[in-house]
Amino acid sequence: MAKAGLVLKSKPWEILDKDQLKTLDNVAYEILRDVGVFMEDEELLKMAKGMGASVDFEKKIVKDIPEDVVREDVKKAPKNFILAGRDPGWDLVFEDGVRRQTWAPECGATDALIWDSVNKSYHRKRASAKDTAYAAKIVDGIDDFDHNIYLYDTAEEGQQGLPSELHRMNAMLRNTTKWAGHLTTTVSDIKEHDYVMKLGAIVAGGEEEFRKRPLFWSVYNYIGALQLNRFNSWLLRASMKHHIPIMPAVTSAAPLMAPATSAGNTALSHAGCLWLTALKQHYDPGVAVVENNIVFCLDPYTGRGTLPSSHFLYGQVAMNQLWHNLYGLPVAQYSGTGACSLDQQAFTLMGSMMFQVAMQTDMIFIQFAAEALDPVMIPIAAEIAHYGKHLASTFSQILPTEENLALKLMKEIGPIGQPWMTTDFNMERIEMFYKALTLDTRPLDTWLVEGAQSWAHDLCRAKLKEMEKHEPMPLPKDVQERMDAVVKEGTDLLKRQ
Amino acid sequence: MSAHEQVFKKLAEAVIKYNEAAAMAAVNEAIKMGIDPVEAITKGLSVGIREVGDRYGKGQLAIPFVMLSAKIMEKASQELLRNVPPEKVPKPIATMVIGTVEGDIHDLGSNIVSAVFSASGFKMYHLGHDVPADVFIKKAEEVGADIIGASALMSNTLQQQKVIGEKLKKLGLREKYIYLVGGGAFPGAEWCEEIGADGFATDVTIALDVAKKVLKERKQQ
Repeated sequence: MAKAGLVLKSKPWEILDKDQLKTLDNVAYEILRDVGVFMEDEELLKMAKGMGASVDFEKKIVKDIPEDVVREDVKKAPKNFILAGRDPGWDLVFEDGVRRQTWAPECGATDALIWDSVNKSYHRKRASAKDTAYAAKIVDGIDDFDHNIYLYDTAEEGQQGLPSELHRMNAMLRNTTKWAGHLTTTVSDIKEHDYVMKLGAIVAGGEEEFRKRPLFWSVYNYIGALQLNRFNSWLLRASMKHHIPIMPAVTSAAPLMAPATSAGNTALSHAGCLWLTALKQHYDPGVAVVENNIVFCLDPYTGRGTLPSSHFLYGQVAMNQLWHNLYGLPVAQYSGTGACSLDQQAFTLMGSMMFQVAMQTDMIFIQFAAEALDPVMIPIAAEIAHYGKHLASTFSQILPTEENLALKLMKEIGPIGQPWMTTDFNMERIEMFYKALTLDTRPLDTWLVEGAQSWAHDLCRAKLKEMEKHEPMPLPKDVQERMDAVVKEGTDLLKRQ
Repeated sequence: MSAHEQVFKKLAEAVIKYNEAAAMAAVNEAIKMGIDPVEAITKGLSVGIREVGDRYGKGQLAIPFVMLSAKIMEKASQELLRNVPPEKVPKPIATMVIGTVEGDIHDLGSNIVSAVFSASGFKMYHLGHDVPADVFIKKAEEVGADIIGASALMSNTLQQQKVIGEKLKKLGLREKYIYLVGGGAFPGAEWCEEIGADGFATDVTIALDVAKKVLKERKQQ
């Protein structure tokens, strides 16, 4: 039985009407026509030409992208598909007309933060595949997370010139039975993607099986406006070659590299996603796409991302409406925080996540600050996900059905409230509706007597210790050996000197 | 306050308030009054840009305003020095070639460094992003640079900082240049030591201090 995702029954929070959505959508096509896209890769430029666009091969700019071609191609993106877990019970199922919401933590930190509880300070160390594996195992064991995504980057490996994507996906696939998340850009060589895909095929049980049941997908992002550099181009071409799903993550980094208004930035980002989706569907039709227009905000005071600003928030709602209402395609959203301290991260993420529930994002990524990660953020995120799922799963109680209204019971009990407590009606619902949080529901007096502990630093850290005990089902020995051989071969070939 | 000091104040304030019109008006005033251009720069414009740098470091000023102030400072300096014979134009503190390493598409940080350094008296050559190691070295040789600065914002492009250092050694040029590194992905002092760089920074105000410190140490050797 499928364990992943919750089907939403409520109405989404929407902020734009039909005409406003159409305006944004039309402007996106105007951008593709008149502003154009920078594409560094010669092969992709030829593909763009093949779709009827005007291509300046010297400047590497594509313009006059035909709207009718894009619209037709985007229609080919499937509405029914799965993203597969090694354990089919954790498959993410996407169905036309069904809004199923999933949750996962996301980060990609280049450093790990190690907390010294004696000196109350952090020690920082470069993250490696070991950290990727460590976090993947923990996430694998938390039922409130529907899938995995790498929380630690293989920064140490990348820094030493090794093919970091290969090492990272190796760590992910071995340490989770859930869908393994993102394959992102390599700077080594396009061949690195072939090696990563080999790993996927080995774990899935063959190339054909891997296509039917993709254990991960390709994620590329534009950094600033409409630029597809060669590394992102490799990723796109590799995804076409191996027929695996994509998540175009088009970041328009306002206010430093994109319009400072949510509308302008949304249109720009939407244009980028339309183009990437169309390219993918034109040359690799029917392979899944989940849209991720990040109307991205940099903090203009530090140049660092991600800022939980109103710009970001309204852009996300608009994006959901654009893709859901106009194209019927699912959306993934990040809700990042640029905060440093645990409590500020928890505070900003909780706010962002609740908006994600309301706007009915299909795949919610609880994105931590990406420079350095204290793994205690995992239980913090789990609590946020739990609360979000609680909200989504308990919506039906407000629907004014005869059962919910309990009018007959009201008339029996009369005006004095106390007898409600032990009615079957209430007792049946207490567990379902009234356990929003799992960590620390003590009353004040008890909390004071027991030491007035910090939720983030003390309780979540204790919870992390329990979570660390989880061991995912290991891959068979022969599978691991074959994976070792692929990683070795890929590393020997692709190590940058 | 003397008449000259008033002009210095106007120059500083124009930079702080990123007001190009006010800056050029103050420049014209300084020229008319026959104020020594170098004095106008050091006591006027430079005071302003230092204040801008301080405010940015304290999180009081957003990046676009820093860039704008730096551009105004540069333009005003060029105007002040326009009629100064080349031999009398003060030499830059140092000449620096800067860019983001090969494979890395982020250049916001190095653009800020370039702007602030330029405004602080460095002659800057910004190579952009995704710059191969050979290009850094070639440009440094071409312009007679004192410093090569390599930025990386992704962990898997950091390795290129090592490549640049190794190429400099291989060509026998390592001692010729001060090699500074930084960027958002920078792991810290250990990496700096591992790759044999002379200094590092992940913040522009720290970068300026590091550059000046290393230059001073070099001069003393």
